[in-house]
Amino acid sequence: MAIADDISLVRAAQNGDLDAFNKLVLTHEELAYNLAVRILNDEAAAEDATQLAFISAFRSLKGYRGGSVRAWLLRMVTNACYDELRRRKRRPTTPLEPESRDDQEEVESPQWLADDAPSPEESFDQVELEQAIQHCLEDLPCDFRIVVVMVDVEGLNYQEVSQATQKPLGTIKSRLARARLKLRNCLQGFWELLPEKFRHGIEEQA
Amino acid sequence: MKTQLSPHDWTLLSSYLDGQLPARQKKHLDERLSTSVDLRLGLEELRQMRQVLRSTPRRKVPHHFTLTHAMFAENAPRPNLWRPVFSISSLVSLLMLTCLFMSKFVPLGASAPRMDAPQMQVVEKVVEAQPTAEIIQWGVSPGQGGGGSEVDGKGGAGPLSMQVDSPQDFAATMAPEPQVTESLPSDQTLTFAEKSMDMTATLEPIVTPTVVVDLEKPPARVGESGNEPTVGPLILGIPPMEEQGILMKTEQPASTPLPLRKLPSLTIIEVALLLVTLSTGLAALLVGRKRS
Repeated sequence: MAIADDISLVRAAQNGDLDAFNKLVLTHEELAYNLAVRILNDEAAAEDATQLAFISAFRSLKGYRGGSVRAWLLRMVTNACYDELRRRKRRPTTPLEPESRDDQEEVESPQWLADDAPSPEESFDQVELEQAIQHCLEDLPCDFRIVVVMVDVEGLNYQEVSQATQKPLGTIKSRLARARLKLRNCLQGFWELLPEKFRHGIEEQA
Repeated sequence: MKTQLSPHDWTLLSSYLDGQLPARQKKHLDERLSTSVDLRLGLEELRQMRQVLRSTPRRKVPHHFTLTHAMFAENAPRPNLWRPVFSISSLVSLLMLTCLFMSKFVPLGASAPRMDAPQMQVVEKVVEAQPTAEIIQWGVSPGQGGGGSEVDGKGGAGPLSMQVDSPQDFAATMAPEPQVTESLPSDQTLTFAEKSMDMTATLEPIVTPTVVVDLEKPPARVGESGNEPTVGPLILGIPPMEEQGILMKTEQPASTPLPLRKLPSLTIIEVALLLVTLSTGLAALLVGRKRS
């Protein structure tokens, strides 16, 4: 959807048009949710954060001053993720494991952890790689993680990231470079998980 | 696979990869890339890592995050009443402060038309020197002057003895001296003593006052020369001595503006208004920012 359409929808929503706002939500909800998942590494928390972000955006419609609507919405998402991360830091939680009714032992492979992919063999490498990437992303500082996810995963440009994070462009460049360097060092430990075409390419260069 | 690149090189490569490097730096880096294997290897690693990250599957949203009408009603942006209250308060207090400040330079009541009473008008009235009769006191001894000489309560008619040969001489003696009305040269200044040298009338040895009439000057006032008594007799119809020959200047006090009313604790009021202005303005600003 063009930027002009986004802005016109925002203007309509500012006048109380709920349908216009919901069109914006439908347009950007996948991006918002994926960003939250990458940042939080928790689907349920990402779901809550995304919903809170859209509610916050609706409340802050009057504060929209122009520019990229997508970046404005992602700012709400990152703020919601920051809130969730701070809450986790204050009150760390341990994920509950289901217990069998008979011997009160933890079930190692609960049903909800089962992979729903149609072909586990084909997607095994991909899942492993994704887990490795997520692991490396989680090792990054939060500020670095947000920048590298926005640029390298979601494909935003520097200006949008700068607007979404409210940081100068130079800060974005610096954080992105350092985040990529850390990510590169981390992913070297999962070298065997990389797709074959990448492995061959890099081995040849080495 | 280890490359020996500095953090600055990695920053340059990262920006180069995304096409965010300025033209001059890009040209310089292109030259370095053509010669440095480490730089080329680092750039390739970054490019492939970015491809890997972008190739990760996207998650599907578990449900739509659209807002319902209930959520709309619950989260509808409420009008913030505090901001206009703070803004108006700040504006009003600023206006009051400005008026108070300006009142220091504008006198109170200046706007009302000033109705001066007639007696308050500035009148510079030049009283023309009217030809008043020259008053010459011939003597201050009791009973030596004319009828008006009331000194020591003896009345005007003092003991006077004179010898006259004829009624004409008496008449000549008693005739009033003609008033000199024209200016005479200084050497022709006459004295009344000289004029009376021919008189045969023998008066008591009197100290004839030598009244030099300098016609170029206004006639001296009685009591001004120092020889005369300071307090002369008042003659009806003749202005008092103090006012003879004075260019009367009826000088009334100018219609000065009304004095400023001294407002008590004016500074305290100003400071208080300034504080109110600043605090309410700041509060309005903060409330507005919080909303946005």
